[in-house]
Amino acid sequence: MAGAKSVDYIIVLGTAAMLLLAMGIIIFVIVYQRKMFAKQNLINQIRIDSQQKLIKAEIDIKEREQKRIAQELHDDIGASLSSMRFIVGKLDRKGDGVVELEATLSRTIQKVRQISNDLLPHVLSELGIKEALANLVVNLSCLPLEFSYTSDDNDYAWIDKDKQLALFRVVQELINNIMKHAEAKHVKIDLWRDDEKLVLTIEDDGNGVIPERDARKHPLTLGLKNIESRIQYVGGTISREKAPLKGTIVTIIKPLT
Amino acid sequence: MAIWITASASINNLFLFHAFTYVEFIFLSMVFYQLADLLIWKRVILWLLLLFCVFSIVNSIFYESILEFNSNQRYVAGIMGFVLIVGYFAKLIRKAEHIYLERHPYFILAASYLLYFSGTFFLFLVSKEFMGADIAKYWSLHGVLNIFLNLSYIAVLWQGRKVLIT
Repeated sequence: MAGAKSVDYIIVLGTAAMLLLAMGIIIFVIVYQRKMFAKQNLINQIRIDSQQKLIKAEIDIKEREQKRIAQELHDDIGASLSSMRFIVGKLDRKGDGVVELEATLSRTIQKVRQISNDLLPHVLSELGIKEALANLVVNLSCLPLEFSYTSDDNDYAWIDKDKQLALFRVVQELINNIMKHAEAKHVKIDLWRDDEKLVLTIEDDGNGVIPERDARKHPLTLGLKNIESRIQYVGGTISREKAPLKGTIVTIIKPLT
Repeated sequence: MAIWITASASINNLFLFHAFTYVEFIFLSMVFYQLADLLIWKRVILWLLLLFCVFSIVNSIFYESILEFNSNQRYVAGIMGFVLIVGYFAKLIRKAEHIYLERHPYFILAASYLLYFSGTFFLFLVSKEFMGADIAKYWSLHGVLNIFLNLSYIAVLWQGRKVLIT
């Protein structure tokens, strides 16, 4: 009888001890893993933050330099050219050469203004991305490519100017890529607000080449890298899809909160 | 079905438990093999599986025939299962991929097996030494753990389905 009791004790206590040990291991794994997860998340967040800071610094430097060049072109070279045109206009002998010189100067002034505006879109800093894109489409109307632009009634001028500029640069770069690679005839730009997101789509009717999908033929160029870093800087996403009929649709989404 | 038929015909059906132990351990090994991320650990799992099969065959030939209760085989399966589970847990800790481990189907499977193996470990260890007339009551403990393990399969499949949907 006493022997049976001790067997009971051995089996019950042994089993209980083993079960407790197993539960201890399970709880340890859950708790430790959660701590590790939190730590890893923190490290990732720090890494993302520092990466964002680096990208922002890089973009800031680039924009500052472009701004400086734009101002030099506009205020210095532009002003000098305008003075020259004024002097040429005042010349008494208005022969063929002088008229031609005046016309060339006017064209050069126009070009300098255009370059200055491309480098530092004044409309963007004054009126915001909505109007800047409209202005961009007007400026590009001289190209052998048809552009159309639509936007909703919302005002986006309140968005951080640097971020608006980054989005604008992305659109510029995408249009540049379309002109270089897509063999498109028509480009459609749409800007609208979807709930708490700003959505920007650039659609073309070209050959539907998506550079990232064919990395061997189209290695990630500086332009594409710039697009990626600017999108990362604005905290948005970019996706490229083949259009239903022909061409490519690029969709940029930026959370507004 | 096979158990029911053999039991109805009063045929010794312990060979089914031998077969079940093989299937169960091979299944577990394959699951943890798929989950393993290190090549060396994958190799260890394959070696453990081979070792288990060799041991089981030797055991059934020389020690516990297929018509006897296979406590040695269960005992070894428990130890090896424990090693597999600990290896999997080590990977979970190292990788830290899931914040809510308790909802992860493979973790539920591993934890349930760990509890089952731990609970039955002592029972299989001493079952031969204390096998007497009154031993049946200890097997009720095994029954409880077995029901728990089978219920955990429902949780595993349920959670697995959720993971697949999301």
